[in-house]
Amino acid sequence: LVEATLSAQSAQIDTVSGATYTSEGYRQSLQSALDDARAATSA
Amino acid sequence: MSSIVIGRHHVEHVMGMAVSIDVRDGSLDAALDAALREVVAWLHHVDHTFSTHRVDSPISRLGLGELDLDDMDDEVLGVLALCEELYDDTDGAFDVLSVPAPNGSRFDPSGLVKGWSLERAAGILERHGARNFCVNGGGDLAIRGEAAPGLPWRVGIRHPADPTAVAAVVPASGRCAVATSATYERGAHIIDPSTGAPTADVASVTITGPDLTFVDAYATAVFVMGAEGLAWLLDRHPDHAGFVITHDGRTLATPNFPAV
Repeated sequence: LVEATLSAQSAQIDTVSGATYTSEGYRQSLQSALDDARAATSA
Repeated sequence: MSSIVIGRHHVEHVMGMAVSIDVRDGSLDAALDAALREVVAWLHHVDHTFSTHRVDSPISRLGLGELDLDDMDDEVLGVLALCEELYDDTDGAFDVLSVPAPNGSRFDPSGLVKGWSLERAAGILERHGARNFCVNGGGDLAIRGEAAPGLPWRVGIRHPADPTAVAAVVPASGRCAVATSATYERGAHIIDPSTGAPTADVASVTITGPDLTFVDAYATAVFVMGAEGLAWLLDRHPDHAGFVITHDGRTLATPNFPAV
């Protein structure tokens, strides 16, 4: 196995995998922000 | 970013989660509208059939003893067969009969139904001609193709302690599923079938592989197994990759885990 130290990144991403969120959790999530950004750039 | 992204994007709130559907095929707009309508109808059908929050769903009535297996249709029986297959496959670490359900029964296949239904949603999009898309249901993903010509989808793995940060970025293209099991959103809800009690030996488990039905179930199973689970995955499913975040701030990955 490959072991490393956990770090926090703010890389550019398209989507997020994480623990299943509630609707409340979604509103505060990075995925929600990505969805808003995607909606704003849709043709 | 001010550039226009082609395709279609839709967020549907269903099955107690947000499902984000991001299709990046530009030349199929009318077909994509029909595809999105069919995916949304499918997800609501799954909710009505399999929800353990609805006491009148067939799966709740089965769990509560109001209906028998004889009353179930082939779709439900197929899901139950998959649950059994995954119980055997994971040596009992994935067990839908050990999970307390919201309807009061101890039968909750929701952990299988989620991945299975999202993978089926991906199949619907493909049938309508979509080739490049990401279906993200509450943090579990079925991906096809690329985010843009020559560019893989960049999948952030959420940092357990910081909802705005990611712990790793996984490039995904072609046919790829990504699922994460962790307790930072809904508390200690993952049951160890061997004890019947909630477990959280590790902070987060992410699995990648070809089919979200299995990837999602393996994420749950490896979470139950703890850090040992990655050795199980390597041994039994070398076509899958795994990434574990420990409570003391380390990450453990199988050598084939594609993080950058």
